Amino acid sequence: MSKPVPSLFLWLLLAMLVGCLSTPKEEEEEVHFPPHWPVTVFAASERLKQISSSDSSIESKAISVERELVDLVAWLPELVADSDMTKEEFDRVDSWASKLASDGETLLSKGAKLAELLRMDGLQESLIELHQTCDSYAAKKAEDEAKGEVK
Amino acid sequence: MDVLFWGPVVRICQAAVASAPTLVIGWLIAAIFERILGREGTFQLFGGRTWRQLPYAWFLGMMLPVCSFGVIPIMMQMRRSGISGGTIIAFGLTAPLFNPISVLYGLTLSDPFTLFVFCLGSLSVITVIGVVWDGIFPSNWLDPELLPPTPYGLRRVAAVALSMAEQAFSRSTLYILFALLGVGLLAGLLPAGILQHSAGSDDLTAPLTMCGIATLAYVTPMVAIVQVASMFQHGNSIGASFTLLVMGTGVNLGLIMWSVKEFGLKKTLFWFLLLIAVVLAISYGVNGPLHPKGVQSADHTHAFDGYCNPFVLNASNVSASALQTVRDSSKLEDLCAGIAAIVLLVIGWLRHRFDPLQKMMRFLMKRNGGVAKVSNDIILPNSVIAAVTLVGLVLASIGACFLYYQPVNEIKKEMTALQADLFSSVAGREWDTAAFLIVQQEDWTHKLVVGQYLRRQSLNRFQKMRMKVFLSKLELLEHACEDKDATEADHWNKQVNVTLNRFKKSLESQ
Repeated sequence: MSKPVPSLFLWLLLAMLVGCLSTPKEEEEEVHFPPHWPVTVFAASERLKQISSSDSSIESKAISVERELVDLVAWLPELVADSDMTKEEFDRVDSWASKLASDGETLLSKGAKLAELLRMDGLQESLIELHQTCDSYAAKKAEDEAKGEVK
Repeated sequence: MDVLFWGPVVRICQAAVASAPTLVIGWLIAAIFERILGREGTFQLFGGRTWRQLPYAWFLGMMLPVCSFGVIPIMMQMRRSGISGGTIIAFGLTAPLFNPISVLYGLTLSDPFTLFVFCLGSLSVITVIGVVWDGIFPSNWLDPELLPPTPYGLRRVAAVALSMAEQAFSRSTLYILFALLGVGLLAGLLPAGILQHSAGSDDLTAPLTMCGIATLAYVTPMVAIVQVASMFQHGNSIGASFTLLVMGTGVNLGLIMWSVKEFGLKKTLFWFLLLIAVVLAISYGVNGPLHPKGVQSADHTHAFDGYCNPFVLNASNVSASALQTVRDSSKLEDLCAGIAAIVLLVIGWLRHRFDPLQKMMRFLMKRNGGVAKVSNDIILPNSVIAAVTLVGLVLASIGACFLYYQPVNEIKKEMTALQADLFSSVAGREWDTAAFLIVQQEDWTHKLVVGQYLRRQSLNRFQKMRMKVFLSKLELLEHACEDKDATEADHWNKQVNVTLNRFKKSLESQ
């Protein structure tokens, strides 16, 4: 005659052992990188350029393009830190990105549309400055690579 | 079957080695209570029978560097000194949570306000438990045991040393063995990695799950604070991290069994259930308000991998890996303390076996009236010796911080050397070595932050952000190594290298 308690325990143990023990890779990647995560600050700058010069109909990998805009601005300090940009450049971006991301979150919670978000104080000027910095870095990098090839 | 045997064995060995330093300190404090402070002195140290008992228990618990194993012999001495049950339990639950080193470490890793709330939370927990328990079960103390005063001089030192050995070979060690069995049981029940998704910020059951697991787990104060900080950095459930801190660091199977033996099942169950209720109430209360803003919430964490079985089901050559895993996780200082613990245990056993009538202790306790007449030494009262020793322990642990957390330049050298090894091991597809080195690299990064903080040179936002980027790439490399994905590993290996160089460069511009 089988004993019910040990059987139950064994079933429980077996269920735990055969359970899904590892995270699927795609899911893990998703945790670290949301679908609209830009690979570099340069990609972020390009994408922000596209969003700032378009309307709400632009496609987005995020829930909405408004969400994507706010997230991109919030991620800028981390993306700049993940590049060769200097501390001074980081400080400049960080000073406006944190404030604009916070303002953007407030507007988003009130259901603001893209046009309204794009009218945030200082956003357009800051984005232009970011594009210029990124462009000059990209040009310098291309020049360095060209020199390397010649050598 | 190998996995189910060797997994728990590994976890038990790891817990035993990790607990060695704080366990030896626990025996030392218990010996000081017994042979220097004496029963009356210990009773007075904890505020006597006044309202000061609980705040004193909390403060002394915060200051003394012991863990949930090392606290058991101290609690036994407190019980013999006539201290109330509520105060003993309050001390036993608080002492392992924080100590000067871990608080300092915690300050650099998480928001100081959060740490302050956690300290306050722990004070609330023990106050509620102490007051309610003493209120419902009054007169729950023993009459203080009578002890002859310890003579001064070398005999006093020898009496403390012998008392330490007696603490090591006493009933308290049996409770510690039970606690270790609890650690093994947990590893046997939890397959590798099963807790990776049990502390998500949106998971309402996270504190509850943590409560069930953490009771059996053994966590040193330092590991607890690192895990709590890691949960903050990953945006995991804050309630679960508070539960982990209190239940994981403060409670273990041995402590519960000691309480059952001393107070009975009903009283033990009462404080244990009360503890769970208060911890869960605080956990759910702080879960939302303390959730760090601007942190991308991760729905998984590796913080609790150490409580699960270290081997996956289909692992091969488990017995050899078991030895390697224990060896890799053992630090030199823990091993030295482990040897000291074994020596004390052997001396304690020898005393028990060959001197059952305690002739040696009686000889040491015999007063020698002649010494004072021939010597010009100042005879310090026991209370002064005890105060100097206990304060010295606290100061020594603060001083040890400066040795443990080296200056930034030294740590940078270590990280550079480690990075070279890591790069080669990933390139050579030595996955286990790489995984081990990644953990080391993370540890050095945290040490760097604390080292800077200790020397009043905290990191600026640029440096913090570069460190964050480096640690996130390191984590991605860790995942790639776990999956043994060569392409991904190569990619993140290069990224880790680049971001470490950037982080180091940012440190130069301070």
